Amino acid sequence: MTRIAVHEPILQEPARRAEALRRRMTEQGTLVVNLLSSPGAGKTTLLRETALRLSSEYRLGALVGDIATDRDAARLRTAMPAVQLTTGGACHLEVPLVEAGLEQLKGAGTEPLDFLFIENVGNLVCPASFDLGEHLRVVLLSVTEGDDKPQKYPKAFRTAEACVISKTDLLPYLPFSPDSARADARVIRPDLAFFEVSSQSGEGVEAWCGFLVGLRRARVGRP
Amino acid sequence: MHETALIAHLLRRVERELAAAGASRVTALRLKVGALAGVEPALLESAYRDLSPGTPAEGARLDLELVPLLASCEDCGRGFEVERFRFHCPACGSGRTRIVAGEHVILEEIVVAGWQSLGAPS
Repeated sequence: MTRIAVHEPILQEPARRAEALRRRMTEQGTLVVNLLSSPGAGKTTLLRETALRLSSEYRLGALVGDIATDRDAARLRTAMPAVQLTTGGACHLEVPLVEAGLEQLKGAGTEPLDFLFIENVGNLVCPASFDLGEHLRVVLLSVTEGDDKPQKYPKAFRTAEACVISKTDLLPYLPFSPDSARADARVIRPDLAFFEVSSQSGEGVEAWCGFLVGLRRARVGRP
Repeated sequence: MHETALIAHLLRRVERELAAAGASRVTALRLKVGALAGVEPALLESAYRDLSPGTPAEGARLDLELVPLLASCEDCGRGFEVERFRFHCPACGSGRTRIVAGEHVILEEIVVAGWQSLGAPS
């Protein structure tokens, strides 16, 4: 009996590929943002509002993960070039799908992008395990979900750098406490940045966009 | 159910390792599953049962060892086990802590049978 010692994460190879993609994106000045949330937390709507504010100054593109349909990409296309990544049943995105989507986006004539938004499949478990080469991982938590989500999905909150509390216009009607959600999440990720946003009223969207622009300057060194 | 995707990555890695070592058949795979790996061991096992037939790992045992989540404090240097995903340092209270173990599924080793060559693995 012989043993081959490996001692490496199963996802080492995908992680290397993600790192190579991140390096390429950094060199060409593209900030890559990976959005995670439960289904229906408002990823598409937030991206649309974000694009409406940033598109006059920046070249934007979006890749949208969906198990079966093209609906989210169709909604986004009114605000920025968007490609649907249909996963055919898979619960998360992986780097090869992102690379294929980037090739398709090239046809839109906006290369190199200033921002690439990746809307992951709606799911707070599986996407948390896969690095897509992003510079920023954001987790959306809508006020209709309950403020105890962070402790239920520790990996998503630990690996995210920012959390957007969405649909805040509904706060008056719900028992959701942004303070509890924040405290709950910061047990897991003490330096998690928080944004409270209503894509309907537009409240908080400006601050969120400002954060993205600042982060792009910091991470990929572009104004 | 990303456990299926993880097992698919695992089986590809095993095939590459076998090819490099000139081995053809696996008798066991030893994995460490971290407390923050984000996987369900039972689902890993069932994905393995579904995907391993027809690969060199067909019939091989899958040994899963659950490992705790360990972190170390960037400020006071204290190492500690993270319980209930509370990442603050239990000694100094700092939030600047770094995971040192328990966030991945790690392929520790492949136990092989049926070496094609007797020489050392290339």
